[in-house]
Amino acid sequence: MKPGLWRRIEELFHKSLELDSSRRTDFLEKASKGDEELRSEVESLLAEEETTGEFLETPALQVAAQALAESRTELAGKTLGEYKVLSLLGTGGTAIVYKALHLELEQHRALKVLPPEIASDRTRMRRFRREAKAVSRLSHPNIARIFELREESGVHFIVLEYVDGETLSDRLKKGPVPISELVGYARRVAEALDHAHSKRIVHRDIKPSNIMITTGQSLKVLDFGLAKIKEAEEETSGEQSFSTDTLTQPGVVMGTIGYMSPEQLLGKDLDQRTDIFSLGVVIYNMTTGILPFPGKTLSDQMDRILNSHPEALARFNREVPVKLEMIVRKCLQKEPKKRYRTCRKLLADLSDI
Amino acid sequence: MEEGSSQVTRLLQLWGGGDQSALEQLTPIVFQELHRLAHCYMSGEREGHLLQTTALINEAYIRLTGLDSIDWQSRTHFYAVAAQTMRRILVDFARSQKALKRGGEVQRVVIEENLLASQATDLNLVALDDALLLLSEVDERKSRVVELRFFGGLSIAETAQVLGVSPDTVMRDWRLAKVWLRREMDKTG
Repeated sequence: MKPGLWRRIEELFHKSLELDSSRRTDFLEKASKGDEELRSEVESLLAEEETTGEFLETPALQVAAQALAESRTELAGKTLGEYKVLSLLGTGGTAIVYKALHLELEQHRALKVLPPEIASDRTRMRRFRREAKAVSRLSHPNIARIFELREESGVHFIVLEYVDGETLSDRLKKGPVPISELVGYARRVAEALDHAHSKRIVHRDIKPSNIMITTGQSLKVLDFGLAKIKEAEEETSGEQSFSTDTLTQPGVVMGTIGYMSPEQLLGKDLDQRTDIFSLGVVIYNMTTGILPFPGKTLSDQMDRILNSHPEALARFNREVPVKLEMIVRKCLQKEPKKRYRTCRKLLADLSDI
Repeated sequence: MEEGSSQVTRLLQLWGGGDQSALEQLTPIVFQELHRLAHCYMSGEREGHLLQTTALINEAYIRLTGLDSIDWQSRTHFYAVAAQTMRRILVDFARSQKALKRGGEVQRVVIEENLLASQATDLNLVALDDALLLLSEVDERKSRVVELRFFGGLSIAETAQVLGVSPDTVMRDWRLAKVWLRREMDKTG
């Protein structure tokens, strides 16, 4: 473009808009002084202006979210094999979960749809299938079951037990949990973990949003063994491994760092004691309403988890039994060897309360 | 570990002082945080259904710098890099979805050709990004206005602050830029 032309276009564009639309053509004629390129440019821009309206007025993030939401609900009403997809249950990062009906058995299921990036990666799928196979062998009243791994019409999904209830995180939003009730929850989670650990499966992502409270204060732990899938998801979503002080861990989703154990943050090998740590955090949260290792920034939280001792439960809840204080402290030991080695011992101590 | 927070603050200040390399160090840190937050926001994992981009950016700012109190200088710089970063994130996401063409009827229905061509607003982020690039070659400031307002969600006043011009100038820039972009996008269909 000729230098200066753009400035002129701009000037005439704005000046024209100040006038009545009826007077613009004349004005343009005169103001452009025979420069045809100038005149036609401004004219075409003015014409476009008339229909621009709400263009770009909705911020990009909202547009993206809307489009994403639209595309996800499109699966509702479709049938995948013997499963009829009913509705969208929720999303956890990149995984999408639907409520479905097993048409033959007339039972509800939860279908977790794997994003195509993972489904198309053979190595990941192999690893994932191995994990899912191991987890499908878990059979316990406090563990949400995995039924099968399927592929229908190009969609890869996991069929899970459908659990009706509210998550512990939603329950916690409503207010404090009485001691007897929370001890009951702690015991059930510990039972579930004990069962899994006995089969050499570590959950790796114990937190309130993965714990479903069902009728009669019973409970089921969700997403067992699926933490490995989260790893795969994070890897493909383009998280480049910038070396910042914080978060070089795969599988870290915003907001859940609070429940991670020191060894998880440091990328070390994990065993059942990592779940025990996370359970300790959950108990702490249920008892006090806050996290043992809070922080405004991620690095603050990480620092606390690695280096600070949590405040006593009694500071926030006067009804805390001393035994519970001791149990939580043991669960939250920085070094795994100082924690409970198995859930059996933890359960024994919990039943003393 | 306190290093993390003050590192970002320091980089922001350095960049404000004209150190370009500080921006280069800042961008990946900001990217990682915004990327994570954006996914959560987009998936509906945030409370409240008002998807305010500035809320997200503010959240990232606090999480990265630990500063509740607003240091205006640093914050406006953060806004600038955040808007740029959000653009990259959302457009990259749109491009990657566009590249996914799965076989199978159901999947084709689920993943449209251009995932981020929302029916609601009929907007194609990839095409917009291309058009914005062209605009920046004609008028850099106008493309920055669009980047800040559309990708960063900033108001006219906030944009004026970041760019160091009057709100009036921003409004005029915004008006013309929108028209120009739309015309450009209409050309390529």
